[in-house]
Amino acid sequence: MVTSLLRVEHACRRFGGQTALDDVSFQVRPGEILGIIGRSGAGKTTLLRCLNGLERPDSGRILIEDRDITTLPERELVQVRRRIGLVFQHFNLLNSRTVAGNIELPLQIAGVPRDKRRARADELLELVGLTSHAGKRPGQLSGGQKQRVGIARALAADPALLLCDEATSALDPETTLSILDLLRDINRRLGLTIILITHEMDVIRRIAQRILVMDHGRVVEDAETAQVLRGGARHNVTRAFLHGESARLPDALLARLRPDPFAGGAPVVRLTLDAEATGTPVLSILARRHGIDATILQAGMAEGSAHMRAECVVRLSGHDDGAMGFLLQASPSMEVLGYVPADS
Amino acid sequence: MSRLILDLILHATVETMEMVLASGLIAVIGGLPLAILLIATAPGGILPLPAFSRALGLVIDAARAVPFMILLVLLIPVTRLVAGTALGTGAAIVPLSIAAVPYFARIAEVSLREVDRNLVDAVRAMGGTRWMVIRFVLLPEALPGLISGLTVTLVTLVGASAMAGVIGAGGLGDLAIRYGYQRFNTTIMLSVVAVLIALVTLMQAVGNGLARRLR
Repeated sequence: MVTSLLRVEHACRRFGGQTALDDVSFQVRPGEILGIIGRSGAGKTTLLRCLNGLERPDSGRILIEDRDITTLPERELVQVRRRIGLVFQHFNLLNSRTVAGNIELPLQIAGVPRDKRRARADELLELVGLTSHAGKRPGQLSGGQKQRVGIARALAADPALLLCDEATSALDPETTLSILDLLRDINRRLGLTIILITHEMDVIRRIAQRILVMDHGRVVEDAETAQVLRGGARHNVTRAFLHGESARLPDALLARLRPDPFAGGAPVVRLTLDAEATGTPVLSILARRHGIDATILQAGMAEGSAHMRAECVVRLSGHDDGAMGFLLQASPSMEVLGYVPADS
Repeated sequence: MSRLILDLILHATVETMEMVLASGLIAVIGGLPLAILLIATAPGGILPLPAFSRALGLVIDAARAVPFMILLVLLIPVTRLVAGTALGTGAAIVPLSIAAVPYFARIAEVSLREVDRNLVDAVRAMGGTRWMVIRFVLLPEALPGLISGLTVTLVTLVGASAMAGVIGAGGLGDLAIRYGYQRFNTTIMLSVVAVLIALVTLMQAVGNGLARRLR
């Protein structure tokens, strides 16, 4: 029984004086969606190239289905690569082939006979909703359709693992959503393990059950996505990703916002309330129990992978020592953005 | 124009076509593998051997540096050895091919180099072998460019085959020299030029059409 589909143990990789991977360790369980996030240069691409054996780590082990791929000779590595489906940012489809021909490519590489390839391509075209486009060339498709072909192709050879390298970064927001829905659907229906490499927190928030944050070649956070979204992030880089995607404050408010408290100033805080807390009338309790009036300056709702979360920016007027403690309990990731004159 | 002259021109045209198509075919058979070898062994290729790549490039360029007129004369002993004679259409195919192979190799190299590297990496990452990269990616993706390159090569060969006519290869060049130039027959001279223009235009049109259909 294989308990972890992929296990990376103390992987290191250096290029000259540059450290691309610094003692990276993590595991992927069968059937989960893992999101790996990091800024450019954090080591994501090197990690990806190590996972499919295009590059070998200087030290450490990478086990796929309990086989250490860092020591495999090229000939056997080819077999391992055929167990990993790859989805690329820029699709990488062959324009010399039809859509169906592109989907058949991994099967052709694996030596599957033509009639079986055809049947499998038809199946996958239906799965990604492109049956009527089978005979078209990739050049005739939209970006979202191209990525659907890319996903179908990645699934063709029944991979044990689907690796998506910035699969939605070249797509517009609406298309991104439909591609993420497709990936989640595939994960549920086929029980396929998916690793998403991305720099967009939104992608992770929408479909990843677990998040791995990389920074300067190290894994700085490895946690359940829900926990991180609830404010359980341990590392600053993770928080930076979380806030980077928060709605921008209105310019009029930003202009009046001062970083330090002053006489007659009221704090402006950002609260993130998760599913259970959303059911609690936080602001009413604040007013009744602590005598603090909260003016909503901005509010929004966001859908996470498992539950809803509400985010709002409020100005607090009045004073009570227990109020901040109460808010911190309701929203562990509460952040004081600054102070504005109380009468404004 | 007399029946005799028409027959002469028709016969010479067929000879020219024979020379061009035969040496064109050999250019592809010899030049395409050389081009693939150049691309594969170049730094960052699928089988990087930079020293070999550079040496091969040098040999190809050396062959291309010799003017065709001189190559014709230089190769007479080789031609005799291969074709048994240095005269006639069959014999001319030898120097034409030897000139065309490195020419097409360099032209094909450009088309192959333009294939998106990411496609090569993608097929490698899917577990494709080097041979599969060549068969499934490099050749089909470069095909329109290769067809255009072959068209250019064939047109160049039409000109070269006329030059071969000067040393007795037959074909339209030979006809123009013997009848048009040495016997002052302007009709034949102009007819040959007209046939050559028609031939080149036709080849280019067919080549363009094919390349466009494949793109």
